[in-house]
Amino acid sequence: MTQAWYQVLALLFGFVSAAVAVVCVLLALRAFVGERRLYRRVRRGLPGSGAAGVLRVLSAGHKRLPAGTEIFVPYEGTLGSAHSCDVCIPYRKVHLRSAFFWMQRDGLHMVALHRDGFHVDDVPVEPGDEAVMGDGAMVTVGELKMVLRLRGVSSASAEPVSGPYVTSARRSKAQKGRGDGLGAPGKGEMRREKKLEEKKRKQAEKAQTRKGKDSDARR
Amino acid sequence: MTGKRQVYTARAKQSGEETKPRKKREPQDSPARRTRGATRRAPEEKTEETALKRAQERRAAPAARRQKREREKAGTMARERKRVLVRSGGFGVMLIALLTAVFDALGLLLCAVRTEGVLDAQALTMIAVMAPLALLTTALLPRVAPVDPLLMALTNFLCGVSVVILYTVSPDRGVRQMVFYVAGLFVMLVMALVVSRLHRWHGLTLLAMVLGIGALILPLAFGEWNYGAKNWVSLPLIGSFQPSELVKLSLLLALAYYFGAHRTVLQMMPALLFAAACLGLLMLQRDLGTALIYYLTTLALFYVACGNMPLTALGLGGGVAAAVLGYQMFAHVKVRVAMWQNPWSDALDKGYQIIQALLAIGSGGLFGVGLGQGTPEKIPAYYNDFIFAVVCEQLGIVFGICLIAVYVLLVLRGIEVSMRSRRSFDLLLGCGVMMLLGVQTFMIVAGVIKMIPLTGVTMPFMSYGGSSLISCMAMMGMMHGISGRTREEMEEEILTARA
Repeated sequence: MTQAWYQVLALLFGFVSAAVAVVCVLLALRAFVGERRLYRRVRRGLPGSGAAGVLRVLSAGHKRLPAGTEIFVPYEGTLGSAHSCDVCIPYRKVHLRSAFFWMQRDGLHMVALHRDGFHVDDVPVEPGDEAVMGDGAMVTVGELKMVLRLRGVSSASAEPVSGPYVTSARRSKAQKGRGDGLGAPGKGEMRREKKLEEKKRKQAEKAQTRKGKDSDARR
Repeated sequence: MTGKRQVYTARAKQSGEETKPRKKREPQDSPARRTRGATRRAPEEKTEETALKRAQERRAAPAARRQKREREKAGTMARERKRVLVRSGGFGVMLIALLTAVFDALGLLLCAVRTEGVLDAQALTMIAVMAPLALLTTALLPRVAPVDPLLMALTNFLCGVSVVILYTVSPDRGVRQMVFYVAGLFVMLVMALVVSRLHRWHGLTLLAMVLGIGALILPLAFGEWNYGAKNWVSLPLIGSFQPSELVKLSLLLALAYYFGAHRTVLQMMPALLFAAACLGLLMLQRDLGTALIYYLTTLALFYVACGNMPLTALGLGGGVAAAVLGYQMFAHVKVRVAMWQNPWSDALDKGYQIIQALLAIGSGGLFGVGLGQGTPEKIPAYYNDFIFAVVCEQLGIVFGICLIAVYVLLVLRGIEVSMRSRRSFDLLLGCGVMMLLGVQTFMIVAGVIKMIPLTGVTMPFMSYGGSSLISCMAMMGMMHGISGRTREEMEEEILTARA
């Protein structure tokens, strides 16, 4: 091919390539937007999609979460009274970040971070302990009693499993009360809690003695 | 009346017709009349009945319509669910693959007939490799492996453009780029399978972190100074490569693992320390462009993971302070900033590169000077950092803008796919990959068009170089793995809903 012909063809190729690129971009945009819309429509049609299961409230004793309320549980996240938690239980007795959880094939793994009355099937779960919950497990946090309904998991495994994020060493540290870096209470925090409890007890005693004195005076 | 009747009967008898015996007229309240009245009703009763019927029909019609609508809706939903689970891309994606193949074939064919009287057999062989690869990887690979068809089609388009352009400006580099592309496809497939199948990342993340630090120390010990940075290593069997390109994968893994699993700042520390160590080593190598990419990716992922605005702002402030310090410490940074402000002040030496790039983009015009035309070799590093200028010169600014649009779509698609995942690890890994690629593309394109000071990083999928292309393909492999996992999760959801 002569140089002149090549130059003509090369110039033509510039136009062709620009057209090809424009068509490719438009097609890609169409495919991207179309697939996105389709996915969202399908997602909207699936009940409870994106959730590992639900926590159904059995007895609450509070207006915010009456019995029968269903709280969606995502595949991983945190449980606590803070609004930023994935499962928010807005009670005073529940800590801001009470536990964190993640879903595995054998069930929902939950690691307690605080001593706020966290029970699974009426067995207390200490800070740093990992509970594996199957479908139908009873979860008690503070004064709230809930039953876990999981999707696609039928039986519960009783043995605690060392998850990918919680090692046994950390758990034992938490049990000893040293604090494990996961938010479990350390020695200082536990001391503070004890002091607070003692203070409350003394105040209650004082109040009782005052009441007794007052009643004696009335008599 | 009786007289007339008699006359009629008499006429009938005369004509020989048999007359029916006339029935006696019953009285008004006879039982026969009463029974007949049940079948033959009065007109008022009839209208009442029809009104009732009509009311019933009217009442039944919306229910039937509703049922019909519900049936149609259920059918549409079932069809949509099936469509979502289809692994191969639609007609549009296949058309992109076909157009990519056509572009590769035409471009390389033009290269084959470029020399007068000689047909370049090498270019013809490349057509036989590139065009089928573009088609097969988009059409067949998604059916057998966890690969996203749209991402694959866009990646193929970028790689195809790179191979064609490099072959026109330097045939040897074009052939090598094609080999790197094929190797990259293999790496991408492996990464996609690993990411979609592996569930425990603790060991692998730690290993990647240790290897990453080791790889970044290598150039400091055995590297050579190149364009003001010591970031290349030459090893006996592997050849020369840039470790900082491969350490990007370690950084992404570490950030996704520690930012995803633990959410307090204390728990994010291992990843932050690793990123800080990488940044320190890159500063020692004086590879400030890559350091900037690492830093921006870490900061963006930190914000995505915890949403802590004050700490993110603090990190941003720290970055600005480090940039000022770097400007004061390193002479070549000062030169680059000065040349960004006014390249014409030293047009023949320091500002030569940027001026030539701008001239090339300008001379290309809207549709370019033609494939293989122009003078790209006048731009220093035309095959590497300045490939965007070469593309704009040969194929025009329209093509260049489309190329940027392809990058934008790639990043948007990647973020969309990662947002669908259930796990925070997958989400952060996908977002990290796309942010890294997006930041890198922005930095080099903006540097070439003199929007920001030149940073000297490669253009993802386009620049010549094995380490850059393979690392980009590995990152895309991660993205494909995440896409495969989200697809599996969707399948699971649909099956659960059906059950």
